Amino acid sequence: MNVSAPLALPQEFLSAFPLALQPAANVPADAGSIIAGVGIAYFVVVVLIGIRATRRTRSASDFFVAGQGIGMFTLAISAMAATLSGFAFIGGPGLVYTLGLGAVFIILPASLTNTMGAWMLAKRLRLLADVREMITIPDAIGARYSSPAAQGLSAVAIILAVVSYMATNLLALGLVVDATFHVGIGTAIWLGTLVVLAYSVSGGILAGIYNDVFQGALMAGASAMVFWLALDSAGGLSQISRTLLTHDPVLLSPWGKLSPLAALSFFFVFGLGAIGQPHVAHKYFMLRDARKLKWYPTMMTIALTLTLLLFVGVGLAMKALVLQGRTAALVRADDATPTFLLQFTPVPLAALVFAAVTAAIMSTVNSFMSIGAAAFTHDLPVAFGWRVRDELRWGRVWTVVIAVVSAAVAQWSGAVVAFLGIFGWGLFASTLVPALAIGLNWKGATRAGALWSIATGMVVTLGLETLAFFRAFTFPSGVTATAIALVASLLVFFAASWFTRAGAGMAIPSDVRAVMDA
Amino acid sequence: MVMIVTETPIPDAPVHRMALRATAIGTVGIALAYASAFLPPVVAVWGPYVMAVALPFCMIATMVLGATRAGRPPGWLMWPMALVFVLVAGGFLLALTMPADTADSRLWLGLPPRAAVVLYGVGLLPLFVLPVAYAFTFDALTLSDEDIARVRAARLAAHVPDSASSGLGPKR
Repeated sequence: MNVSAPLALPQEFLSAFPLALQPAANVPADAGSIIAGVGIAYFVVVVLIGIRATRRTRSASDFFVAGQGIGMFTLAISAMAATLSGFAFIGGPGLVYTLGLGAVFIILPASLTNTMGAWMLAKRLRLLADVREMITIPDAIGARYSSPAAQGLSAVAIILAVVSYMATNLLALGLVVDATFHVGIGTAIWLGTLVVLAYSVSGGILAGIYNDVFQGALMAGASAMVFWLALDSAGGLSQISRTLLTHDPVLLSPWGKLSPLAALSFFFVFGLGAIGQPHVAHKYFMLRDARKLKWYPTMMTIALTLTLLLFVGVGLAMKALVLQGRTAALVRADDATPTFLLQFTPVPLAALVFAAVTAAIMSTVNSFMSIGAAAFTHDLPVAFGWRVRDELRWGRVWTVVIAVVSAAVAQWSGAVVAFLGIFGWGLFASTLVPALAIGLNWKGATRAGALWSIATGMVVTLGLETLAFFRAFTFPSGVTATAIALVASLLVFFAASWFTRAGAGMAIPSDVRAVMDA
Repeated sequence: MVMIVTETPIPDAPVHRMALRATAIGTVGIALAYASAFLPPVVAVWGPYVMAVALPFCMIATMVLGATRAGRPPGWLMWPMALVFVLVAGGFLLALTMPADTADSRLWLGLPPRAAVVLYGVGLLPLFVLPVAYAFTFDALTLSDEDIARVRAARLAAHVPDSASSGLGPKR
C-alpha cells in the first residue's frame, strides 16, 4: 500500500495530519526485543484495565458517559490523551524537522484552547447533563435548538468524520505495531484494532477513560524525559539555535519555511477548530460535579504542555544534530523521533516512547469508537423518532461495526487515507464550532442557523477537500479547505440566525436557558 | 418533543453583545485575510497583518462570550483576556515586522528574538495567565453554588415528557 503518494493538498497541511504516514525507522535487532517486550507489557496493562472497567459497565450511561462519575484529574488527563494522537510524537517532530518553527503553530494555540474550551463548553455541557439525559454531543445540539433534525444532522457529520479520522489513526496504529512486532502492515492494523476494540466493546468509554489515565501519564512522562534528553544531546537550546542560525536560519524564523499566512492558518484551524472536537467535548458530560471544573484548564494545560515538549524539542534537536554532523541526514522527516530515540536515548526509554505513541493513538481511537457508536445507537434513532430498547447492547454492536469499517478503510484506501484524516478534523470543526460552541453561548442563535451551518460545514469540507484531492483546484499558499469551511460555517451561522432571529430567545426551553444563563 | 417556553428571557449583558459582534467581526477579518491570498502577491501583503489581528481578536471574543453570564459583566476577568490579546496579536505583529535574525543575533533565553517572541510570548506566557485567571475567578464569575441550585430548580420546574430518555426532553 502506497500511503505516501503525492496529494493535491497543500503539503504543509497534509503532513500536519494526526499520524505518521510512513513506517517507523527500522529498529536494530538488539533494541527490537526490548521494545517488543515493553510493547507486550503495555498491551497487557491495557487489557487488564479494560477487564476491570468491564465489570463496572452495567448501563448505557456507563458505556457512553462513564456513569457521569469521573473526577477533575481523570477528566484532564483523559481529555489530553484523547486530544493527542501519534502525530504529536512522530509526524509533528518530523514536521518541525522539515518546516522549522512554522510547524509549531499547530500546537501553539494550546496556550488558549483549553481555557477557551472551559469557558465556552465545559460548564454548559456539564450543567446540561444535569437537566437533560446527555449521552452525546448531538444530544446537546438537539436540546439547545429543540431540534431532532439538528441532532440527526450533526450525528451524520460525526459519523462521517469518525470513520474518516479513525481510519487514519488505525493506519498509524498499524504502522507502530508493525514497527514494533514486524507482523506486516495489514495484520498490524487488525491487531491494533482488535486490542482497542476488545476494551472498547466490553468496557465502553469507562474502559477508555481508565486507560486514558494510564496512557496519558505514559505520554506526558515519556515526552518530558525525551525533551530534556533532546536538548542535552544537541548541546542545549542556545547551541541548537546557533547551529540552525548558521546553517539554515529560515528554520528558526517565526514562520519557519511556511508563509506567514500558512502558519497563522494552522493557529486558526487548530485553535478555534479544537473546541469543535467532539471526542474531547463529550468528556465534559462525564464529570461527577461541575464545580470540579475550577482547576481543569490548569491541569489540562500542564498535561498537554508536558506531552507536547517532545513535538518541539526532538524536531529542532534532530535538525541541529544532523547539521552538527553527529548523525546522518534523515531519509524521511517522520524518522526524526525514532532515529533520535534509537541513537541518543537509552533503549528502555525508547521502548517507553514507542508504547506512548501506541497509547496516544489508542486513546484517540477509543474516544472515536464511543462517539461514533453513540451517534448510531442514540442520535439517529432520536432524529427519526425511533426508540432503541437496549442501548448498551446496540452500543457494543455499533462499536464493532465502526471499528471494522474504519480498519478496512485504513487497509484498502491507500493515499485517500490522508485525505480522510483532513476531512475528519475539518468536518468536526466546521460542523460543531458554530452550532455547539457559539450556539450554547448565544441565545440569539436559531435552529435555522444551526442547520444551515452544519450543512455548510459538511458540503464545503467535502466539496473543497475532494476538489483539492483530485487536483481540480489548487489553493494559494496558506489557504486550506478546512479553514475555508470553518469560516464559511461560522458566517452562515451568524447570517442565518440573524435573518431568522424573531423570537429566538423565547424558543429556548426554560431548563436549557437556565444552563445558558448560569 | 416538548417545547417549554418562559415569558421573559434574561437580557444579555452589553459586554456579551459586544463579544458576539466582535466574534462575527473577527470571523469576517479572518475571511478577508484568506481572500487576500487569492489576490496578486503585491496587493496581498496586508493579508497576514489582518490575520495577525483578526485571529486573536476572534478567539478572545469567543472567550469573553463564554465567560460572560446573563446580565452580569465579566469583572476583572477582562484584564487577563486583554493581556492575552496583546500578547498574541502583539507577538504575531512583532514577528511580521522585526528584522530577520542572523547567525550573530543575540539570543533571548536560548532563541533568536523573533522566535522567542512567538514561542515564549504567544505559546508560553498565556499558559500562566488564562488557566490561573479561570481558576481564581471560578467561584465568583463562572459557577457558584447558587448557579447550580438555579439550574436544578429549572430542571424540576420543567415538564417530564415521554421522550425524557433523550436530550430533547428534561431529565426525570
